[in-house]
Amino acid sequence: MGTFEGNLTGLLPVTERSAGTTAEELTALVAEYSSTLYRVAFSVSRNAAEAEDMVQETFLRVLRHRDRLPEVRDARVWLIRITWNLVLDRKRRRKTRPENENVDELVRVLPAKEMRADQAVIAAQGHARVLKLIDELPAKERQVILLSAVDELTNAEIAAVLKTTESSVRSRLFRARRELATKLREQKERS
Amino acid sequence: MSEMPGAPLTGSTAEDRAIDAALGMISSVQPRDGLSQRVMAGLASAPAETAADGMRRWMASLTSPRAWAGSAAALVIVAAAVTFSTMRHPAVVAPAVTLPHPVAQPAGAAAAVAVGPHPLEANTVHSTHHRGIRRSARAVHSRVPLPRGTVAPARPAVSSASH
Repeated sequence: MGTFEGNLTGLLPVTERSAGTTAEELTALVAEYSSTLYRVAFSVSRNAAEAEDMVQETFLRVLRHRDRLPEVRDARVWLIRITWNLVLDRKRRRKTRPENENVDELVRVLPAKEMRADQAVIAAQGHARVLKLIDELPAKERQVILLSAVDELTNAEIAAVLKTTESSVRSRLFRARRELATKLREQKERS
Repeated sequence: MSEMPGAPLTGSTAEDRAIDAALGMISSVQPRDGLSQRVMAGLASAPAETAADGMRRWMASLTSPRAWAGSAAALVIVAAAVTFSTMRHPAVVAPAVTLPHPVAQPAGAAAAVAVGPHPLEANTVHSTHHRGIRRSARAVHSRVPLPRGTVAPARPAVSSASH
């Protein structure tokens, strides 16, 4: 069993490590990236509690594999990739659909700025419809468009997370949006 | 959000605006207050993994139903392969037979044997195909699985000179 200090020692890359490397530095890391990781997880799970679990699990993985940290060049991309793989893995194992049909969950997470309750429900229903169509996209396009929703991520970072090229990310994003727009148009015409 | 060169994607149609709104919702999601503190508390209470923990996880994976199913499948495959290999033998080549050199008989013994003036005539009346022998040889060669290491009797050669 390791202590907290023991766990945290050696967490940061060697270049950043110093004698004073302790819990404060990890706290800064957690404080800086927790929200981003939460959004990354939420984009797939659409469940607040599960997204929070994923953030927790990400940092636990970091602790377990702290030996690899000296090789890490971009901590942000590295952390996002861990979260992304964790959330995809959990989704695959559970074989459940994301809770995008659960409009209440979306209403709950919607920013409540100058929006009445009925407006929030209507907006959430619209979002749920789009997210359901996103889930029907091919995996590569779905992943790119979901990661692009996390607005802090650039195309280069998405490419790094998915281990592909930036031009591939751009073309997948283009195809995904075009397909989504077509499906939405067809839905509108049918209704 | 990046776009393909020369192809504006966002905000141009109602569909694009709906897509942007849904993606924007994900982008604006905020965790409950105090996420960082909860994560740090979780890290503080998490035990560091030791070699014993790794071993325990490995043992747990061995007892999982999936591991057992995989082992059973592998066992069936190995058993089938062994059975199949014992059923079909590779062709066993009979060892070469070296005949002893003819030994010169003593002159007295040769003189005592009465030898006719002409060699025996070949029997051209009866068939000399030896069907019975060939059938039994075929049966031995093709149908009966021989134990490993056993040499099957050689197929009798039918010489054309006998005709």
